[in-house]
Amino acid sequence: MQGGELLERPKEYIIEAEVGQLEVDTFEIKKGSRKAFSTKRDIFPETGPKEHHKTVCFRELAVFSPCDETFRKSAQELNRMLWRKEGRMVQARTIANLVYREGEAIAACIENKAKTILKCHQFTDEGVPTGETSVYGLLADESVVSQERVSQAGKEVNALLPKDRQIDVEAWQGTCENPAQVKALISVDDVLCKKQKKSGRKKGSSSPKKKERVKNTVAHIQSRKGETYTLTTATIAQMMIVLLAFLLSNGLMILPGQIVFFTDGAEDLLLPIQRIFAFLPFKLILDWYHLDKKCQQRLSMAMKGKEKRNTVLQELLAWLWIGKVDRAIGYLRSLNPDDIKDAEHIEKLIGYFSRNVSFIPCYALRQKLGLRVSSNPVEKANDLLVSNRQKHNGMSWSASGSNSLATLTNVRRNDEHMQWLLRHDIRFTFPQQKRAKSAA
Amino acid sequence: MKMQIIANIKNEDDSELTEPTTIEVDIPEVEAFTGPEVFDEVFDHYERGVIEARNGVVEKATEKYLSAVAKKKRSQSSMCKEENSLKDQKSIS
Repeated sequence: MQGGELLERPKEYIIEAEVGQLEVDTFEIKKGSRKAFSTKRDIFPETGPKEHHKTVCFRELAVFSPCDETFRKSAQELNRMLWRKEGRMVQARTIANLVYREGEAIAACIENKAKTILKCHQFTDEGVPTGETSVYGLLADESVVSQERVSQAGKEVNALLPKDRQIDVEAWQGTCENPAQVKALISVDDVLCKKQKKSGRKKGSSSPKKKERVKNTVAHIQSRKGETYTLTTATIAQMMIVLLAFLLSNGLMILPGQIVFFTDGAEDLLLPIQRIFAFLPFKLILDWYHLDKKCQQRLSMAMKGKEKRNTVLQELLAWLWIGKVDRAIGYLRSLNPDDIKDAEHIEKLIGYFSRNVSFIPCYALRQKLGLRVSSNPVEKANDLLVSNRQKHNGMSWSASGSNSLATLTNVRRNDEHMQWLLRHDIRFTFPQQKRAKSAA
Repeated sequence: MKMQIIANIKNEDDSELTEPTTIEVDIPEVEAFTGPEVFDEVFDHYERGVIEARNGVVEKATEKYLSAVAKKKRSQSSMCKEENSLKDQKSIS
């Protein structure tokens, strides 16, 4: 570049790298009052005042090690690994800030990606279709397990049941999806962590009655080929939009067959699913583990004594396992009032069954057919993405901190971390290695 | 473009303990840094290559250094043995 005044600024640009903390000279060429060239602007990535630029290798260590251990331990290990001396040490707070910033940037990137995908497929930003949607519902009803297989499985189930409990196999025909012909199997759940107390609460003032929680929504997506991908968002509403975008961009929506959701039956999960995916037939299945747990909890509060509770629970679960919700409700209504401690909980349980009756399948038949009866993949994902790191004694989180950490852990789990570190982009597809394995 | 890293272990008198260990690593051309949008990717190529080379050269140099340590100790201990056996012979005679 010719002409202009050359200004040299020694050691002005600082780079945190795995090779060390680099203090680099920068140059500026000024033509009059105009900056014609600046190393800080035209060669190096721009940084804030007093901010150090961080290289990919450094970020790989600093951003992803807190996914497994505390910020303080991560800082100690990083300083040991990089042999940082006093005065050049990376502080735990710096790592925490970096994690929050990267997590928020990833969430924003995914949100933008989702918006673009939805627009390309003629959906609004809120996931409402504006174009033709009949293509997504192709062969939704035909992609079920064959009648012969269901009949055979039904016979085998009935062979083990007393006469008054036999299942009506014909009534369940057409309700069991063929896992090789589904669009995707999706398990969704919320995971809660303790919320950080607001600063400024006066000493001696009463603590809030209800424990405040930070929420992360996790979804586990499994394709018909067995490929898996997990998503995390701060809210269920956001999750449904991102989920829809993922299914569209990976070509899962145009596959013939149904989408099958597995949930714990929480109303705040059901409503957004029904709202976003209303334009196509989908199946919702209530997770057996949660149904069992719900019955246990309610009956513990409703019945007099452990023995009575266990007797009722056993009978109730036996009806629910074969999908006879009306019989389960009838059984609850026929309980001896003398055995009941609090009838309100019985009514609440009946209400829960009534609300979720259409999501309670014949679990016995599904199990016989080798179909999934629970949302355990997302429960596992909850542990891996949130609970293992964030749910320990004495830990509390800000919403931003918890969501960011979950987002980063998820990016690493989906094997997208290098793509993010190098190009600030998320692949938003099933992990490559697993794809290759399943193709082989 | 290449970076050459040489590790040379010297005695106090500046004589070389072992022969120098040299490693060469390809690094991106200066022209590859075309703008802020490619800086991270290009520098990552540099950093990974250099760290790997640095570790490699130090590993090789350390192996040579420890071999020299072992050699010196072995010769010292054999000399000690010889001295001891001479002493023994003298005491017998």
